Amino acid sequence: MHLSKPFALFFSVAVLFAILLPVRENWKEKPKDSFPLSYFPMFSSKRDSICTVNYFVGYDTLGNRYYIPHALVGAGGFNQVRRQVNKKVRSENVEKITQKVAKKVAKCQEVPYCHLVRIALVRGDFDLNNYFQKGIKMPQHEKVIFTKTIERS
Amino acid sequence: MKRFLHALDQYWFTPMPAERLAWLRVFSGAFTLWYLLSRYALFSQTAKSEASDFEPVGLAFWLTEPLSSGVFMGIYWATIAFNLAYLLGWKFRFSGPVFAVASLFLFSYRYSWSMIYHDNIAVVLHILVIAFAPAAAALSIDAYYKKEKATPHWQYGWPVRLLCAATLATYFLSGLAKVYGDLAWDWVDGSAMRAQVAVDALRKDVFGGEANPFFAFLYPNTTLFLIMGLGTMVLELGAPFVLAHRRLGMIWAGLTWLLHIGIYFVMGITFRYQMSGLIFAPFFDVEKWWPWLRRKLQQTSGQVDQSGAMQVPAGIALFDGTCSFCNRTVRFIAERDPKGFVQFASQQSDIGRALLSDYGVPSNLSTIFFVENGVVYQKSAAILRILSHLRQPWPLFAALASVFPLVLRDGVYDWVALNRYRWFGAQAQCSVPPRHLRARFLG
Repeated sequence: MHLSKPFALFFSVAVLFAILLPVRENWKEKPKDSFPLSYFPMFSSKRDSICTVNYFVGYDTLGNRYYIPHALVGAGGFNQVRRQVNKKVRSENVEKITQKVAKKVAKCQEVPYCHLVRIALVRGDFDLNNYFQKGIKMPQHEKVIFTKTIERS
Repeated sequence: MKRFLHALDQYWFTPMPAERLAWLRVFSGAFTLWYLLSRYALFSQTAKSEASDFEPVGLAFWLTEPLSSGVFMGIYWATIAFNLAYLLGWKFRFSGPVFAVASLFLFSYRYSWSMIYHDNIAVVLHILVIAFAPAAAALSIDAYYKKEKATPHWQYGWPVRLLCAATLATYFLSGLAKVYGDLAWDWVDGSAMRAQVAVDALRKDVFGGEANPFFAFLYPNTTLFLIMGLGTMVLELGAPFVLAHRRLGMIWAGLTWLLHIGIYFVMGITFRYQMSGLIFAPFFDVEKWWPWLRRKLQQTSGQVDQSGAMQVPAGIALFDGTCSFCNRTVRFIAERDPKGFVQFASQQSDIGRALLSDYGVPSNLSTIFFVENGVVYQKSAAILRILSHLRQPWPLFAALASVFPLVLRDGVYDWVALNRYRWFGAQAQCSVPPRHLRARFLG
């Protein structure tokens, strides 16, 4: 496609203007990201030394505890699934997603998930220094939001 | 003012070779094709996602509810079809813009499920620019049929400039978001980056993502994060200044590529378009890479004679002389090999039999053999080797076809070989080559 010089210049300016336009989101009280015109907010939020995460854990008959991987929780990458879980917790719509995960775990043939008898959606507070420097992998506090027994046919 | 406009005109509309823009088309097209095909399962899952998670973004903004699974997968396959046309530069005036819009919609829809991934923004923007530029004036089917060699022109210059500027703009925005976000200048001393990476690693632990197993070892190393944090801010906020000088752009591209490699080793995050270096290709004379690579390959395979002059290496194709299809294929090859690199012999001839016997290969009429530098190739591997020595677009086609697994390629080859007599007929004896091609036949 051959463009005239003025039109090529206009096209160039329009593309660059559109790419840079989302910069105004930085000054908004509630910024909104989009695609592909993004303001690239990744890694720009403040992180405290205590990190709170909503996630699923499973237990076997001996009471051993395992994290449920994102592939058993939802579709997409781990960050997408994490956000979907947060959204469900915020909207207090946790029963349906916990049931769905319990069903997926019940169908899973992989060890240790095939031995799980119960799953729980929990909110855990982790101390980053303890976690990475002292090797204390358990959360400081953990609140159970919803639990579900695994039913296998 | 007049001088400024003149300088701007000189800069933005610098004449560039058509091949540079064409290679950028090939790079972006090949990347998206690989990405879409390798993520078939992910796109299938997206098609069946829960409606309650649907938050349309970008070009999917007008949707009030998710598309049906069938419609979405239809768009997925149609995008792949246009991706192929874009890559090959076929009917580019039409296929380019359609592919740009289709890929924009497909990625928008993919990221409409509570999470926008930023790693594919650059490739989508690159495609949008390339699709509306004369990017099929070389290395394309359109150019092949046009039979006119494009000379350097400003028409091929401004899109390359725009690709560089668009790439730099995205990095600059990323830097601004860090400064204007909650963290402000904490990024400069590395503390913010260390905390970000730690949170990401923790989340990956509890969600079973791909975290860096050595992160616990890196976490206490504050100097490492200071260097990476400071480096990130310099590269992102300094991005616009890179436009001032071409060499500065190359240095910036190299350092930013290293930054992505560093992110991968520290966080386990793979920004594929960035890590492959394709995002930075507009900053370089990419049209010079292929001839350079070819020269290097020829030198390493010992094709330089004692005097240092390059010899034209010869390859010999051994074919079934009684098969009409094979004879037509031979003529097809010979007519597209102006340098006469490929020579021919039928497997039934004395020289054909002797050659196969020398290499210890039993005669097999259901395959073509290609002997090159002491190596005997057969079936699809032989065809691709031969195509790589013909004039464009055949080497390009060979490079693209080699992406497919050997078992698949040979499967298609065997199917054609099995039916070649039925479809194209057989001859009672080896045919005599036409006069102008006789010098290419051995024996």
